[in-house]
Amino acid sequence: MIQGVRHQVPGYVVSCTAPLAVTLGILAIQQSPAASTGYSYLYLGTITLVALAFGLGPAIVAAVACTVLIDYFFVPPIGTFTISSGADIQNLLLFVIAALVVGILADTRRRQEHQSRELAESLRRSNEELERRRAEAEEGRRLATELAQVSATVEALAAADRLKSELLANVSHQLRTPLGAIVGMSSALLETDRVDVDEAARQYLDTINSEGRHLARLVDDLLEMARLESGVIELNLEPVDAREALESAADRARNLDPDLELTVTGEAGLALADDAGIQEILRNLIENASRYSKVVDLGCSPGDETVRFEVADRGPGVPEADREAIFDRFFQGGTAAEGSDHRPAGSGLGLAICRRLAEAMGGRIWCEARPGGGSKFIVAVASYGDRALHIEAMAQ
Amino acid sequence: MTEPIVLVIEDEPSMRKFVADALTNRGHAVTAVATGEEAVDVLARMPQPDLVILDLGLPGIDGLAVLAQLRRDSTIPVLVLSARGSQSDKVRALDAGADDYLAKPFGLPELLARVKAQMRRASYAPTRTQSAIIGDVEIDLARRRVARAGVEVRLTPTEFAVLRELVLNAGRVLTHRELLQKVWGPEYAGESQYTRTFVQRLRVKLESDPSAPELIVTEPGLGYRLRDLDSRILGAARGRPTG
Repeated sequence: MIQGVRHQVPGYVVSCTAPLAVTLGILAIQQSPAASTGYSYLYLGTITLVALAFGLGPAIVAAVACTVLIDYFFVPPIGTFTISSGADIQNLLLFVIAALVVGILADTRRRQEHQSRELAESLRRSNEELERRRAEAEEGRRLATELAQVSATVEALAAADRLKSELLANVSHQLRTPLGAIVGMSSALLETDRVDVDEAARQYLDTINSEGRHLARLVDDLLEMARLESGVIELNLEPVDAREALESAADRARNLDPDLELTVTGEAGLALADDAGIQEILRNLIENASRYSKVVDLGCSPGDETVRFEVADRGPGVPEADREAIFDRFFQGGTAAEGSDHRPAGSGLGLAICRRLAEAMGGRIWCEARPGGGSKFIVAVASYGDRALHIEAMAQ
Repeated sequence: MTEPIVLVIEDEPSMRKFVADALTNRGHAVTAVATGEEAVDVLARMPQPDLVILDLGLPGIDGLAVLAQLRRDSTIPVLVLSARGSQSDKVRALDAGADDYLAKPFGLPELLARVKAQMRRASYAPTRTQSAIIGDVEIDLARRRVARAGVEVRLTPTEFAVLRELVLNAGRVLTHRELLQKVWGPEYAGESQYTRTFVQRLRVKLESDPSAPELIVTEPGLGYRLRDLDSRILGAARGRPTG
C-alpha cells in the first residue's frame, strides 16, 4: 500500500508543477493575460499528458491545479480567485468538465496500453516457457533413448552373465557327475575289508581314486578362476578374526594330512574380509607350502590399517625373478621345487586364485624369502578397525 | 534294535546303487527312488525315515523343492548330495533346511562319516539332565524338548545339537571353530557357513525378532553367545543383527 503511494509521488509532483510551468510559460509569452483564451488547450494538453503518463489521480490533481491557476491568472478580476462574470463561471465549468473527460479518456488509453504491454509480456513469458518445456521434452526424449540403449546393453550383459553362470554350473554338474561315480565306486572297492581286490588292483584303484579327485579339484579351480575373472563370485566382507581363521585352516589341513606339521602364531585381531575367501586362500597357500616342506608356519599380525596373514614353508624357496610370475595361471616354477620328493601336482591355478580373491577383497598378496630358507606368502587385507570394534561392542 | 531307515533320492542310477549298497551293507534299511515325485509319494506312505539323502539335481520336482516340502512338517535329518560345489550352492541348501551338504565327487568314507554323524546327532542323549529357561524359551536338554511361550518348537537334530552347545556354554562366546568341532567334527574346519546358517535357523524358530536377536547374539568375527537370564534382562534392548 505504502509502496503504491510512493510509486505515485512523482506523478503528483508533476501534476502540480506542470500546470504551474505552463502558466509561467503563457505569462512570459503573452503581452496581456486576458489577450487570448487559447491557453485552455495548453492546459487540456498538459492534463492529457499527465493522465497518459501517471493515470487518473494525478490527472484530476492537474485539472484542479489548472482550474485554480486559470481562475487566478486569466479570469477577471485577475490576481484573485473571484469570478465576476457568469460567462466566466460557465467557461470554467466547461473547462473542468473537459479536463475530467480528457483525463478519463487519456487514463483509459493509458490503461489499455498498460494491459497490452502486460499481455505482450505474458505472451513472451509463455513463449519462453513453452520453448523451455519443448527443450526439456526434447532432452527427456534424448535421455530416454540413451537410457533405453543403456538398459538394453545392461540387459544384454546381464543375460550374458546369467548364461555364463548357467554354463559354469552346468559344466560343473556335467563333469562332477561322472567323477562322482569314479571316485565313489573306486573308494568303495578300496575298503580294507574287501578280499576280492588284490594288491595290484588296489594300486590301480588308488590311482583311479586319487586322479579322479585331482581332476575334480582341477575342475573346481577352473570354475573358481572363471567365476573370479567374470565377476560372478559374491564376496561378503565382514569381521574375521585372523587367529581364528588360521586355526580353522590349520584344523582342516591337519585333518586332510595328519603328517603335516603346522604351527600357528600371532595375535587375535579382526580383518574386514570374506570368511570363505580367506579360508580358500589359506587352503591354497597351505597346500602349496606342503608340496615343498612338511613343516608349514602360519602367522598373523593385525595392524591399525591392515591385517597380515602369513604362510611360510621351509623348502628351497622361490627365486626372486619368479616371485611375481608364480601368481600367473599355470605358471611352472623352475628351481623352486627341486630337491623335494613330496610334490603332488597342483592345478596350476591355486596361487592365481589366491591373488584374485585377495584383490577382490581389496587386499593383496605377495611372496618373500623366508629368513632361514623357504618361502613366505603374505596376504594383507583391510583391518576391521578398533573403532568399528568399539561400536560393535557398544551395540552388544 | 531296529535298522535305521534311510531314504535315498538320486536320479543317477549308478550313484543311487552305490549309495544304497554302501548303506545296506552297513545295516541300514534303504529305500532308493529316482525322482522328487516318487520321494514325496514314498514319504507319505512309508514309516518316517531316520535320514533322507537327497540329490539336488533331480528331474521334475528339483531337490530344493523336495527339501522345502519336507521341511514344512518334518525335522528328519537331510543330507544333500550335489554336483554343484560352490559356497553359494551350499549355503542355499543349508538355508532351505538341509542338515549337511556333500559335493560330488565324494568317497565312501566321506559319505559314511556324514551318515554316521547324522545318526549320532539324532540319537544323542545328554549324560546329565540339564535345562534352561531364557525369557519365554524353555530348553530341556535331557528330553530334547524346546518350547517357546509354552508352544513346542520342533528342531532338527543338528539344530538341537547347536542349541545344546550354546546352552552348555551360556554366557560365553562359542567361536565358529569350536561350534564346528563340537557339532560337526574336525573335517568341517573353516566351514563357518554351517554355523551361520544353523544359528540363523535357530533364531527364526526361537527369537521374537530374528533380525534383532536377543537370545543368540553374534560376536563379530568370532562366533556366538547364548545370553543367560541375567544378561538378557540387562541387555534386552541391545539385540543386534545376525553375523
